[in-house]
Amino acid sequence: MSDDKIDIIHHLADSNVLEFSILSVDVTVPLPHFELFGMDLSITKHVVMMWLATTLMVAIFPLICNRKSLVPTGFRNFFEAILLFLRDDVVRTNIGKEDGDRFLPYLWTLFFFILFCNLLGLIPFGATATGNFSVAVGLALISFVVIHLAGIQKNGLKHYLESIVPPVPKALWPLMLVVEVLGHLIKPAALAIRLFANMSAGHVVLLAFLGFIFTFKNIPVIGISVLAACAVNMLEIFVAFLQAYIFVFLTSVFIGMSVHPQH
Amino acid sequence: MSTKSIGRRVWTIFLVLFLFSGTLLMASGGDGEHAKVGLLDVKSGLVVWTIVAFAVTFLILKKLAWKPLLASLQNREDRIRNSLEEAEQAREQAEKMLKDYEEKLTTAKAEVKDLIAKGRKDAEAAKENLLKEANDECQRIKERSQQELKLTKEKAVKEIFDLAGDLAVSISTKLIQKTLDKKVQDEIIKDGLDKFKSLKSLN
Repeated sequence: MSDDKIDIIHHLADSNVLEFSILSVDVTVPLPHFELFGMDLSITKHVVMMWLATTLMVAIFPLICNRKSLVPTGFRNFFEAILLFLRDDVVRTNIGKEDGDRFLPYLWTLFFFILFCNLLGLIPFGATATGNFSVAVGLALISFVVIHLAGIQKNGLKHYLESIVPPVPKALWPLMLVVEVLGHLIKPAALAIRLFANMSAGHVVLLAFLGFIFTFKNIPVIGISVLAACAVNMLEIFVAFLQAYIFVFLTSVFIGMSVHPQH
Repeated sequence: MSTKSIGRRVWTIFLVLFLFSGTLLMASGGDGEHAKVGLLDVKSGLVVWTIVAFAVTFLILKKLAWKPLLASLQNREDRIRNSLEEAEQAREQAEKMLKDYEEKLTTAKAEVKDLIAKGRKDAEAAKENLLKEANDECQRIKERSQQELKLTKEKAVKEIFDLAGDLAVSISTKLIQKTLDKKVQDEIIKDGLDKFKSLKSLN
């Protein structure tokens, strides 16, 4: 019984080795460990998955985006539909045409980085890098910095800092400052937690369903579990797109708010 | 907004985040290998890797993918806009031409109508002329025939008168032969006059 125990956390958590099996032979590849300035910069499973995602992006997009033909076909059509949707309905709507187009490269990269990480997590032996809180925090930190630099660059540091607190009676000002500053910190924290939680939750459910098979050990349960796991996997594909979209959408909303503060 | 300044800003972001994660690490006292794995632990090393991976991807894609894509999108939008404008212009031109042709057609129709009317009038006149000529000819022929008839009749009458003269001579001869008998004489004269009368009625 203890042999069949499934450690769900182990599947979600990062590790120092890559594990996969070829023709039911388990292969374990240890990854290098190193530190820099006292920081643990080991290459972990999730780092490898991120590299895989970035490699795919760097392989796919230059190829797609440099086609000379004016008529998009095939794969280019698929990606262009997404890219144009993000440009027209997310970025330009939330930030505005003039300001928004400057953030397009960042937001496009962000969307596909998250999407590719999400989808790679659904491939057997893959791991969801975005389901790791540290990765989500990293992405949220970038968003945080971009959001505020955008506001400072557009409105000037002095004006931007002034616009953090909306016009309220003088007595409320200290309280509002605290609330607004907290708000600015919570926004990226929420981005990180949302992404991480959504990406892990599906995997937890998926593993739980498949875990039933080993817990109950009978045929009907296998059928139900596999069907349910399939359904959850479908849902996961949708969630992969949805979470990438939400992260980018909220980031552009925040950039829009910071670029055009209410007066 | 130049590429250079965007690139510089990205590196600034990267540097700030790097330092920030370093500070996080100091604060958390380092996450050792033997630390218990928790899902909500923030491992500064992974945060840094995330930021590095993202920044590198961003810089590469910005240069190799997004820039050409934005250019080609702009190009396509311009092309579409131009094509639409050109199509609009072509349509307007076509409409103008159609109008011109319709006008020309209308004038041509009117001209044709005039021509037909003129032709008909000419034909009418020619017909009239021909008829008149034919009539005149007819008239002439008729007159000539009448003339000839008249001449023939006059000739015939003259012949009759000659014959009557001859007859009168023969009557008088007979009269002279029979003589004397007054009654017979009267009868003969009367008879001759009747014959003449009957001849006269021939006229």
